[in-house]
Amino acid sequence: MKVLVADDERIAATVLSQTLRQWEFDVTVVSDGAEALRHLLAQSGTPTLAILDWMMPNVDGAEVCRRVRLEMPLANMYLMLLTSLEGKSHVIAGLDSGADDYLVKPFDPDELRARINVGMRVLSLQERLAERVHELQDALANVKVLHGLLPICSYCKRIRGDDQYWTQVESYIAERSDAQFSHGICPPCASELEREIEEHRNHRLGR
Amino acid sequence: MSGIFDPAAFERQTGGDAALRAEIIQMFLEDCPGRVEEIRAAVTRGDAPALVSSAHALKGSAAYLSASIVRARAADLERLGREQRMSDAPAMLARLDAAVAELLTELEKHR
Repeated sequence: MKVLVADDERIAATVLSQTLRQWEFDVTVVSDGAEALRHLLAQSGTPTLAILDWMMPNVDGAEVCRRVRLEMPLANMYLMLLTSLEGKSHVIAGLDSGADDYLVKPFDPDELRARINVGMRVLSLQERLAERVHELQDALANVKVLHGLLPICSYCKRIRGDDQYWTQVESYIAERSDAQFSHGICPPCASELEREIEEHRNHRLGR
Repeated sequence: MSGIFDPAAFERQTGGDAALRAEIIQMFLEDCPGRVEEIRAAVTRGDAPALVSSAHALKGSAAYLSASIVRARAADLERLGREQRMSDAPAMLARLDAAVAELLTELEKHR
């Protein structure tokens, strides 16, 4: 799992990134919000967890969240804001800016682990949903549609297609669906046919 | 004294990684004097925004080091900056200086 750590303070960034590496995450560290934004925009196709310090020069953590949600509304990104204890009152504004969660600095390792697990659960759920949507879109593209009002000859049962040609009902349906036909004769038609053959034979024999 | 530096809390914070602890202590010993000088310059100039950002940075790194007293002093200075109470800052800075001196001495024993 890819994790981005954005913090301009190197001690905070080192403790956080090394903790994540102990847990075998693939960690990238950046030291300001603009760089974090560039990295996340480049990662738009990959599920990514980002831990962003709120107070960074130029582009702060909340602004990074806002821009990510605005510019990549469908990207699978779980964004966590880091705030100081005194800044906890900004939590609502942070979540409103598009963050999924927040952590108070200095993070508690057990709490960080638990919250990251929540983030990974959300990311994998979104990933599976996106895959399912993709599969459904593929399936939909392959489905042949059979609907609407069909002009049918009431005598020979041919159907007139959009091309104005009259075709046999079975070839009309076969072209437009995955149905296949096996040909046979139903009992009422079989007895009708037998009767016709009998009549024909009698006629020839002059009965 | 755990208020100045709490080795047990620091060990827990760093997941029991001794190399990481050594790296962080080294970084702090390198960065701290410069941070305090940034704070001093901001206090001298009466520059509240600069005081907020420099005190905030020191507060953050002291917090990861489990250095509660320096963290609290830096937080006090950050708050003074936010509240534009720059006339109270020199007295608070003197208290920070004393705490930092004690912390650096303590950290030298742990490097």
